Amino acid sequence: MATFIELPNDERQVQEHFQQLLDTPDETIVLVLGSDDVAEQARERVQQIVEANRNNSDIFEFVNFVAVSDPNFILPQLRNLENKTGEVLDNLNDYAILSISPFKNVLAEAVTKDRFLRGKGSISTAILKALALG
Amino acid sequence: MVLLFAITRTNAQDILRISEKDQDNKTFENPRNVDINSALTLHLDRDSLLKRINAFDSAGTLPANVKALLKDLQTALQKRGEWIDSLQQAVIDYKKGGRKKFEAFNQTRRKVAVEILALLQDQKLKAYFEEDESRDIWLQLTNAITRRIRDLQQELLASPAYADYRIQVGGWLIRNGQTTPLHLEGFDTNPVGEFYEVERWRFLPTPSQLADLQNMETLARMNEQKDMGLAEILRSNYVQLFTKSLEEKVNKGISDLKTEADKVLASLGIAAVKTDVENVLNAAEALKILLVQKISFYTSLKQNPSFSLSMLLGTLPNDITQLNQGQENVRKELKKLEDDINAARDLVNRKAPLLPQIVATMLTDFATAILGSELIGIAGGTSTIADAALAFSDQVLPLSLKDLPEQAITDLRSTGFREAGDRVLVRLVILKGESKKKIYQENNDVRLYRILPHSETTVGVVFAHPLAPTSIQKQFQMAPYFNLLFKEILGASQKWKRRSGLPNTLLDFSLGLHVSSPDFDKDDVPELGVGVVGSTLKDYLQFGWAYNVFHGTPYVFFGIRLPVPSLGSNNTSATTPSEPGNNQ
Repeated sequence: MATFIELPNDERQVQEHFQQLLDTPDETIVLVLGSDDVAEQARERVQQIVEANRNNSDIFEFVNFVAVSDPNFILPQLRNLENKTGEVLDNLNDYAILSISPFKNVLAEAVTKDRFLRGKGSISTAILKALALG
Repeated sequence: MVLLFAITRTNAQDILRISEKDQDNKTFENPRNVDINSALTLHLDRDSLLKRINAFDSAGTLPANVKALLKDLQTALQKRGEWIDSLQQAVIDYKKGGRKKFEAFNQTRRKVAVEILALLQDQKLKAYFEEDESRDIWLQLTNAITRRIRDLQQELLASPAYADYRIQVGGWLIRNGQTTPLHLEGFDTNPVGEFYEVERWRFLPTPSQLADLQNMETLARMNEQKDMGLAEILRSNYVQLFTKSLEEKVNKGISDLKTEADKVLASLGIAAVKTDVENVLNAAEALKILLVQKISFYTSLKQNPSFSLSMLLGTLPNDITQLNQGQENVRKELKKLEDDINAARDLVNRKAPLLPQIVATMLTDFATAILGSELIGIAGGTSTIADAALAFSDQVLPLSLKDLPEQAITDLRSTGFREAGDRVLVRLVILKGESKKKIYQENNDVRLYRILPHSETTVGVVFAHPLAPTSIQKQFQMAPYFNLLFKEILGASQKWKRRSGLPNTLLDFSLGLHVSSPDFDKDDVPELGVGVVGSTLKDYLQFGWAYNVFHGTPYVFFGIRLPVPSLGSNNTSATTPSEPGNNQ
C-alpha cells in the first residue's frame, strides 16, 4: 500500500523526517517538490494514486509519497546521495518529482515541471526507475 | 507445390470478428446467432492480418526493428498478468515470512521494474505511458502498449513491402438460397438496403392470418370435421387440401414459361438460352411427376387401412425433402437461364420480351421452399447456399492495407426483409499483385433469430377434447384458433440462443393466450373458447387448456403444424402485416 506524507514547513523538522525515511531501508521515496501551482497538481495526482491503490498489494507496496514545500531544506541531504537521474539538480525548483530507490537511497528519476505537465503519468516512470535501482 | 490459396472458415475469429449490439443496447462478442434487429460490427484484427500476409511473404522486407518491437510489446501485454501475480505473491510471502522474505520481494519488484523500463526505452511508448491519466499503473501500461502497437501496425501497413496487397471485405444476407449483398461502410459501394424492422410486439392477426382463419373456419365446419377421431381428420379434406395446393404452386409458373418458350424457341438464336429453357422444363417435368406420385399416395390415404398418424409423420418429412429438392433443381436451372438471358439481354428483349419477366417471377415464386424452411430443418434437409459459390461484385473495393478501416457497422434493419433462420455471411479476401491473385479467404457468419422478448400471433386448427359431456361423440373436434404467444419474456435463454441453434428452433418454448371457436353442441354456430397455450418445437406443437364460454365446458387441445400451403400452412405466424401468407 502506498502512503502520502506532507512534511511541515520547518527546515529542521523536514530534515529530521526526511532522514528518518532515508534510514528506513525498504521504503521507496517519491518526493513531491515545491508549493506552486504545478506542485499542487502533483500533490493532487499523488493523492489520487494513493487512494486508487489503497487495496493493491503489488508495485506500490512500501512506496512513500512525500510532499516538501521548500525543496531547498533537503538539498544538503540530497547532495550526499548518489545521483543517477541524469540531471544536475542545481535548482530543485525546476522539478516536480524526485524518486529515491529503497536500500541504496540512489536518486533515481527527476521529473521536471514541464515534463510533469506534459504527462502526469511520469510519476509512474519515476517509481519504476527507483524500484529498478533498489 | 506451395499452397498459394488457403480458405478458412474461422471459428477462432482470426482476422474477422463480429460483435452484436441489440435493441436493448447490450453488446455481445462473437455470437453464433444474433437478434434479427441488431446492429453488427465487423472488426478487423490488423495483427492477425499482418501475420497472415507475412505467412505468405516469409522472405519479407519489413523493417526488422519494427517487427522486433511489435513482438516485444505483444509479449509484454501477455506478461502483464504474470508481473502482477508475481508481485502480489511476493508481498504475501513477505508479510508472512518477515524480513527473510523481503529480499525476494525486492528482487521480484526490481526485475519487473527493469523489464518495464526496457520497454520504455522506446520514446514514443514512454510518451504514451506518461500521457496516460490512469491511476492504475497496469492500466496505464496496457493503454500505452495498445496505442503503440496500433502505431506500429499502421507503420507496417503503410510499408512499401505491402504495397502489392489488396484486401476486400464484403457480406451477404442469405435467405432461402437467395443472396443480397450488404453495405459495409468504407469497404464497398453497395447501396444501403431497404429499412425493415421485424416487429417485436404484435397482438393482432395479420390480414393473411385473418384470411387463413376464415379458410380454417370453413374447413372446421365441414361435416366430416365436426366430430372425428384424429386419424379420420387427417386422411380426409385436411390432407387433400395440402396436396392440391402443392399441385397449384408448381403448375402456375411452369405453364407460363412453357407458353412463352414455345413461342420463341424456334426463333431465338441463342443456344445457351434455348438449352437452359429446355433444362428448366425438364426439371419442372421431373418435379411434376414426383408431385403426381405424392398426390396419389396422399389422396389414397383415406382408403389405406394401414394409415396412422405415425405413418403419416414418418413419410411426410421425407416427401417434403424430396419435393423441396425437386423445387431447388428447378430454381437452379432458372438461375442459369436468368444469367444467360442477362448476357444476351438485347436480343432476348427483341425476340422474347416477356421471357425475362416470367423467369424473374418464377425465381421469386420458387425462392420459398414449397413447405417452409423450418420444416426442411426438422425434416433434415438444408436450404443453405454453398458459400463457395458466393463471389464479390465490382462494388466491393480492393483496398490497400493503409486504407483499410478497422471496423464497419451494418444495421440489420437496413438489409431489407428477413426472417428467423436467415444468415449473414461476411468474407475477407487477401489479393496479391497486379493480377490480384487470391491468396487467402476467410468467412465468418451468424444466423438471425428472434432472440429478444417479443410476441407472435399464430392461427391454425387445434383438435379440442372436451372435459365434460357434449354432443361430441368421438375424441376430438377440429377448431380454428388464434394464439398470442409471448416469447423470451424472462430473457433466461438469451445467452443460450446466441450460442446454439436448438433453442431458436426445436427447443423454442413459449406461453400465451388462446382463443378458438369450437362447436360442441354441433349446431353450426361456433362458440367461443378462451384459455392458455404452450407452444414448442418452433410452434409445430401447441397444447393447452381452454374454457368454452358459451357451452360452459372446459377442454384441452393440441395442434400439430402440418403443412397446408393454400391455407398459408395450418399454423401461420406473423412477421409483418405486409407479407402475405406469412410463415415463420
